[in-house]
Amino acid sequence: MTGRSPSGRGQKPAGDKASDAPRTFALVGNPNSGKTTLFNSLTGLRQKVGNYPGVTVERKEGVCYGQHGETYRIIDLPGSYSLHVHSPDEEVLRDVLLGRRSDTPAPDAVICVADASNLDRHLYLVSQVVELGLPTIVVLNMMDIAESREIAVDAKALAEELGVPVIPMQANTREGLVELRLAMSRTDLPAGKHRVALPGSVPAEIAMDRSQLYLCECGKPLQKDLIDPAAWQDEVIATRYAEVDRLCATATRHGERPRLSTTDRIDRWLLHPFFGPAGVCLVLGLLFYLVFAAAEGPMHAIEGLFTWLANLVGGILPAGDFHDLVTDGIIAGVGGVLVFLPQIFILFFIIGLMEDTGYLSRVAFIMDRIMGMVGLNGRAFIPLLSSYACAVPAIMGARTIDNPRDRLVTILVAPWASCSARLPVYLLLLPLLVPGKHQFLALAGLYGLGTAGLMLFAWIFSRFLGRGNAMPAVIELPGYKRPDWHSILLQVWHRVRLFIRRAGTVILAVSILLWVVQTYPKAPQLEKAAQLEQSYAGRLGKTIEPVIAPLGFDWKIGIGLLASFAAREVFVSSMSISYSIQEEDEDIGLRKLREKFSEARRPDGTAVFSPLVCLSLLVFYVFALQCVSTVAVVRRETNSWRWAGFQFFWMTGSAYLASLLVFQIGRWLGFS
Amino acid sequence: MDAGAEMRQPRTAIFGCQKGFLVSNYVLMRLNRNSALAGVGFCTVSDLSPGCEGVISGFLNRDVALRRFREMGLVEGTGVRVVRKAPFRGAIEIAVRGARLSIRNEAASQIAVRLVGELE
Repeated sequence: MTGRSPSGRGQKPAGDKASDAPRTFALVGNPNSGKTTLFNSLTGLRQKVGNYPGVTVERKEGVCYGQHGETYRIIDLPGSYSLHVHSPDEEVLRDVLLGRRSDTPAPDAVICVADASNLDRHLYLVSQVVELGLPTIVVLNMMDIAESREIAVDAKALAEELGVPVIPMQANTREGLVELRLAMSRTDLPAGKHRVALPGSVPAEIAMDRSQLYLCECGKPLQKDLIDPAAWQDEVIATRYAEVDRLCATATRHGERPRLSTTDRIDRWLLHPFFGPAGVCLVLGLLFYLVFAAAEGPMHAIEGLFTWLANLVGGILPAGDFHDLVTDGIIAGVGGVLVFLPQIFILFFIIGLMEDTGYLSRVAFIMDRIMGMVGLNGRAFIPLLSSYACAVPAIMGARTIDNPRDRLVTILVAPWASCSARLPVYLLLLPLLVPGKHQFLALAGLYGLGTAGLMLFAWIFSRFLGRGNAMPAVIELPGYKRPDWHSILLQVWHRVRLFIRRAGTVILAVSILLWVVQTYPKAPQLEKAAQLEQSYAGRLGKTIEPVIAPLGFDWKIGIGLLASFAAREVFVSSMSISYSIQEEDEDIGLRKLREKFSEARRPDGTAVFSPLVCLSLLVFYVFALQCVSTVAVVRRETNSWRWAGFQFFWMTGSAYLASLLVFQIGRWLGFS
Repeated sequence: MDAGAEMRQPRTAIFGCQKGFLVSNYVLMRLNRNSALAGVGFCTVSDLSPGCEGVISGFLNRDVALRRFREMGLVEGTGVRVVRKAPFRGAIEIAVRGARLSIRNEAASQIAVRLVGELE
């Protein structure tokens, strides 16, 4: 800990416990209370983002300096409406606050953020937190919005009621930050004295220690002789809200409320039955365009950079295995990962912008019906749509879905959307299947097939994945606000860095592995194609030939398929090697490769790439999960190899089955 | 019991359910346990037309999942206004305690409301 604080600034406030560790503050608050903005303005870039071990909950920690230069550690806990646990996020919140997680120190004090314009809901969590008996600072954020809604908040009266410091603030303009820092420096930070009188039905053991309220689950009393918490918890909620209403009555004065707020006026158009969906289409069109088109330039630049780097390093290193490993394995592998960066950046920037302004919730509102039909959350719409560009950012984008089950379903089905990496394969094979003008229709058909698969499997998964803990999908529609660029860019930066660091290592390893199996054992006297045939990959291709023969594939396609598991577009380059095409211009390469394909014959004289084989191959590519990056990201986002493995085998299995059906039924019907 | 919440609720003159009052025997049977609702004609949030307001009088089942609604402030005695409904029985936007929430139609049909000013 101390290593992170610059020397000389780590003094503790006088009178603090004589421990070395800096004082730890836990930051809690409702979603949309501006908690993240506050966290960002307190810590700036001194943040660490990771995951809590064992759960897929983002862990954010930062270092902040008090008004007198002392160092504090701040844990940004997941936003929640209550300390009662409904989801893994809330479990983390509760457990960290109560000091029940071994990987996180119990906080010394709590900063509880509430939206001043929405106190009659946000004070609910505040009253729960104050009751825990930890030293607490209550921050009333968004005072400007409260003012514009003619709500006068009396922070002093509230502080008197709660018994803890209450600080009015505007985190986006950093107003009130000094006062908060001063309060954080206080060594005599009082623990809240406010307690909600619990109804008589609550067992005495629980009423004594308020943290017990959140530890007993419904239907599972702590001890045998206790009554089921379900019997009294609803009463506790009602009592607490009655107290919240009383607090609001003493601390706030409502003026004449304008009949229509700005948000209402905007929503009249953006949530209009007709213009609403039209607006969503427009925004999505723009998103698609940017992810596809605007990313193209930077992606080419990155590719160019890595080609240049490979040439440069290739020129320095002596020819040999190490030279090939570095240029073809490592540099090409890393380049293959980093080439996704522009797409990831653009996607997360736009999603961040939509989320920060409040539009994302509106999209979820409009799309909720369609998504609900297949059992998905309205919020899944954007990630799933962006999955048509690339599943990797889409799966990372599923973090905006707060319900863990919906998030898992979204992650599991996202790769069925035909991503841009499938496009080269489609474009290579389609002309062999459909001649002339109808290729466009066939292409649309492939996208449709992928979408149908996505819908079908989403429906199946949402049926079978724990209907028990299905929460009602409540989406808060916060008032529109001006985007906070600093926050958005910081968010994007964290995503980008995570992607490079974690997914990158796996992809790098697999790229090297692929290079090795395609290169060894070496046979220098042979030319490229024959060398590939007798490499490990080639032998593997021959080994799996009996398995893929029922789909109509030969061993060369087998190598392509295997290599595609690194990334789908590798199929094209791998097939070029198999059919030994010199890579000149990409387009000419493709046409030549197609010619070679149509000339290719099996030993018995029939065409390798008959229309039926092409169709079967295309269907395989529509369904199969052939992308190490996706597997790596799913592993990270779900925090388990189990789900990544399940998804991989399920998708690849469904692809095998679909191809098998296409080929065998096609042959039975007399097609070739 | 919750006078503060009711007082803050602006009283508009628009009343009415899309389906009028529901007095289905099945629902009444289920509600008889809850004395506040027994025998009273009522409707649910999903029956309200946009612009209509009601006061929450109870939930039609004791599902633990509905506790999330309570915790977001939808407790008995709180005023709810339906702001708009997405077409084809899609999501419903409600105004509750000064905030806007979007809930699904199925969930909305579990929240029983009393129309403001009509049943008192």
